[in-house]
Amino acid sequence: MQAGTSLSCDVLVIGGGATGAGVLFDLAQRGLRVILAEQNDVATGTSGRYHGLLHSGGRYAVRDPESARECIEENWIVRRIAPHTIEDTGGWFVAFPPDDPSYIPRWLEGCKAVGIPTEPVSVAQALKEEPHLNPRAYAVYRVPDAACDSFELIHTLIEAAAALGGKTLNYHRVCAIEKAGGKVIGALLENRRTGGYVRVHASAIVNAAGPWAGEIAKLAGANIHMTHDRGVMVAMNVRWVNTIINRLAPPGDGDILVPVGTVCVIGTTSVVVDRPDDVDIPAHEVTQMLDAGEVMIPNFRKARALRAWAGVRPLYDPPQKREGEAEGGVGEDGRFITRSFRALSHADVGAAGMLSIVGGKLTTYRQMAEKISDEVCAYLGVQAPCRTAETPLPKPTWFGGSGRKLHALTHRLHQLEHAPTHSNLICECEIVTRSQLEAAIRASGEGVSLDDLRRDLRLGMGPCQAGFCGYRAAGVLGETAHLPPARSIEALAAFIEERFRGNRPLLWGHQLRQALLDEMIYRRALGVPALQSEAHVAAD
Amino acid sequence: MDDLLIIGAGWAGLSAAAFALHLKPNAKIRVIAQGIGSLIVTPGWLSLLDSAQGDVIEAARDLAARSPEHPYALAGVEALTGAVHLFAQIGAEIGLGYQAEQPLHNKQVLTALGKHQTAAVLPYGYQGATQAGVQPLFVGFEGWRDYYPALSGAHFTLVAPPISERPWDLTPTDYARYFDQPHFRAEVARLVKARLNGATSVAFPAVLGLEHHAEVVQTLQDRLGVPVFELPTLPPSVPGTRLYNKLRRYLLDRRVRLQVGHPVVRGVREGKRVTGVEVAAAGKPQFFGAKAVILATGNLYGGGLFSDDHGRVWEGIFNLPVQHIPDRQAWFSAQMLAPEGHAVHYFGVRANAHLQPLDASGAPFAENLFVAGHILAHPTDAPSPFETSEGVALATAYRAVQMALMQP
Ligand SMILES: Cc1cc2nc3c(=O)[nH]c(=O)nc-3n(C[C@H](O)[C@H](O)[C@H](O)COP(=O)(O)OP(=O)(O)OC[C@H]3O[C@@H](n4cnc5c(N)ncnc54)[C@H](O)[C@@H]3O)c2cc1C
Repeated sequence: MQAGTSLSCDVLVIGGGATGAGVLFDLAQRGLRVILAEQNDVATGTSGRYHGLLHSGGRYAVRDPESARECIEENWIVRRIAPHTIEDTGGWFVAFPPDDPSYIPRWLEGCKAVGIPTEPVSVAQALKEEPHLNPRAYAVYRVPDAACDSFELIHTLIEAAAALGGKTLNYHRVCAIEKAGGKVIGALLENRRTGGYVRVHASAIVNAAGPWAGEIAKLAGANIHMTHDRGVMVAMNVRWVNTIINRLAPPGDGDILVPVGTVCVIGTTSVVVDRPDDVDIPAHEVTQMLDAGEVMIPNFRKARALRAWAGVRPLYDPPQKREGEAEGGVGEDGRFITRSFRALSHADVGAAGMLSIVGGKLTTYRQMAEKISDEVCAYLGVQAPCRTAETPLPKPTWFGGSGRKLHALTHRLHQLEHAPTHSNLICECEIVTRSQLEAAIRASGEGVSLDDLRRDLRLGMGPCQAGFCGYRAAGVLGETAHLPPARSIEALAAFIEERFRGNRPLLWGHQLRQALLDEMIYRRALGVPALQSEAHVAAD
Repeated sequence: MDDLLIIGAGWAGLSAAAFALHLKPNAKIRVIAQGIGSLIVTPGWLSLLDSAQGDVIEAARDLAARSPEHPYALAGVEALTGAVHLFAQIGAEIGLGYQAEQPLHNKQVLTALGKHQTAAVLPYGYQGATQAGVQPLFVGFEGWRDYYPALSGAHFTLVAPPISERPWDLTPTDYARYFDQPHFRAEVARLVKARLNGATSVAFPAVLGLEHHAEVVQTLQDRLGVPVFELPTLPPSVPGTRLYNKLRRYLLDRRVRLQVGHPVVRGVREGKRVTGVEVAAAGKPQFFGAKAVILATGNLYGGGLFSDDHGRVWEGIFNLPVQHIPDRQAWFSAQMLAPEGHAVHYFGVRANAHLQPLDASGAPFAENLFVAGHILAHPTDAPSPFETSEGVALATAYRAVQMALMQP
């Protein structure tokens, strides 16, 4: 493999999730030269597929106090340093029949022990605040949960790091780690857009690859035992509640409901899978989530299920467990493995300077970053204290309106209503105009897919699931990027299949009808050819 | 009390009403429907059996012989021929084309992506596609979001016809209304003529007139001197809307009672006979009695069948059992455009050779209830129901009408 370009830095961070972005910012703030490599777009791994909860820690108070403590400590900090990424919905733990009442005193004790404030709410008051809540609820406690937008958080960290010289390489996959004299000296990156290679010389490497941490460790000759625990979430088109609702019971399937913007998200399942990228969504897991939703909100499934997605939890599962860890052992699901995190050194396999940060939660990203950055600095002999807990993060530039990412519907409406001239709508569901689409295509450069544009613009994410805008967007892409027609049509087919993949588990009732309409448009009226290979679809 | 009550105003329901007029001109006929079903998205041509190589009717006969549960086998191939020829006759009367030559062969038409589709019978707008020649010129409208001629083929152009509104958000139907105006189509012809450049034919998105389709195609062809044809577009489908508008007028002129926008909420059965249906109305449901009822409410798309996340599928008016797979995971293939299609396309109500729907025990649900169109189940070894889409609608409508009109 011939490296076309070479770069050098003090630290290479692998993985553009919350953890990697946190490490990038932390080390940049300590004055180190840092490069982050992400194989896809940032925030598309677990961090882009999570449930959206800034945990109070209440969920782990009984079984996993270490993680519960980390959550509540970080909860206060994240609220302070990144308030723009948070919707402070507050959270409740609610017991419904058949939840066991004897769990309540244990839970309260657990919360108290790690410092999670709880406040009882009368059922009458709870029903006044949340009229859709199942009136059979028999105990309600308020905790400081909040909803957190991980895309916003990660982009915030990346921009803040960039201002300090921290560099992010999207679509760059680490394919080899280079060692010499018992330590790591760099890595080889494949540019997945151009197919070229980049060599990065680095004095230290941080493996923040989430569920892929085992794969990255292998590149350095190390072995990390990860458990890949897949969870499915379903977004409903109704914001049934304004408060996060947790079941006041030992963690189980479908026991958290998170309001997010105009929708609410029920989750999750917990199934151990073989691969970090197994994000399949079995139909029965969706039905299981809706059944679970009915317990908290009667008639829950009468709303329309808009979107389902799955993420894989990066659970660290060492063969030698410490005391108290993973109480009850690993069962069928990964629920009994601690949500706490560990920093691992790989000096034992001749890869000194390579450090892995594994386990944890999105909520605890900062503490994870602090811990691993401390280790990196110790290795490099750098004396620089961590300051991330005290430093408020600047809002990313797109909030000012001049930015390039425009993914809030309200923002979109505001722009459109105050624009001097209206522009034509390509995606009517999400209000994406032709000029926005053209600007995004130009900004993205060569090889941009309709799915990349979707992430930037929310194109095709509304109820029609690209039934109408897919063809239009392919037409505009062809004109703007001067593509040969066959390429535009292939981009359209890939987009249709990507949308279908997320939609397929939700096809019943109205959504099924909508999919059949889309199929008639694409298969019959337009004659879109079937994609040649699955590979196109799988690579997102 | 009507002689015949038809529920549904898609391909099957409207055709059934028109066929009934021909088979029994004095019958009292009523059509009640919630909407116009798949006409809103139909390309407007007739697919009878797209994979047929030679004589399409003969191929349909083979299919019926091989697959005794196929709607073609239930209705009989005589019903298919009868239906196609009667539809062609009506199509000529309402000014939309749809000539059916004998023997009937499949034809190739073009789509907006420059791909070929197959159909056996074409309205005027698509007929020119069979003479597209080596260099068709694809014409789009500047600033319009619903058609991109660069995706259709190598020779394309954008014209800016004279319209006072912003062209952006116009629907296909808006453009079709413009084409109904003689000066507009004359101007478009003038603009395109200047860019012909040796084109062997000219293709437009399917917006060539709503009321005056035949004249629009004729004028453009005369002025341009080459065949002119349409390419199907995003919904709403103008060829489908034309067909609906023209058939509606045709039926109303002949005293058929047509109520669209009225959902039937329940069928009423007494003993072995259906006495009528209840229709949602302000206040309380209104009852309509009939000697015979044809259920043509469509499949899961059309609105005749319903489904839920537990994998249940049901029929909404008589609660007829629906042939389906209970495991929802098996309803769709992994890819939307998978060549093999999807299992859900085959779900539907089972019927006997009289097109009486069957109850759970396999007996007719009622003596005087018949089913037509895509509400019918397709055997799982049948060709994709898209291949026989309009053929099944028309043939079963024809047969159901024959049976229904025999009711005492
Ligand atoms: C279903 C589910 C629900 C969850 N809900 C919550 C919640 O509500 N609250 C909460 O706090 N936590 C939640 N979590 C946990 C949380 O999402 C994760 O702990 C966290 O997002 C992990 O972030 P990360 O940055 O470590 O990993 P990731 O976000 O997965 O980032 C790792 C990145 O590494 C990249 N990568 C992998 N290999 C390579 C390579 N060779 N080269 C370059 N890049 C590579 C990947 O593409 C990926 O983007 C949930 C997890 C799941 C699965």
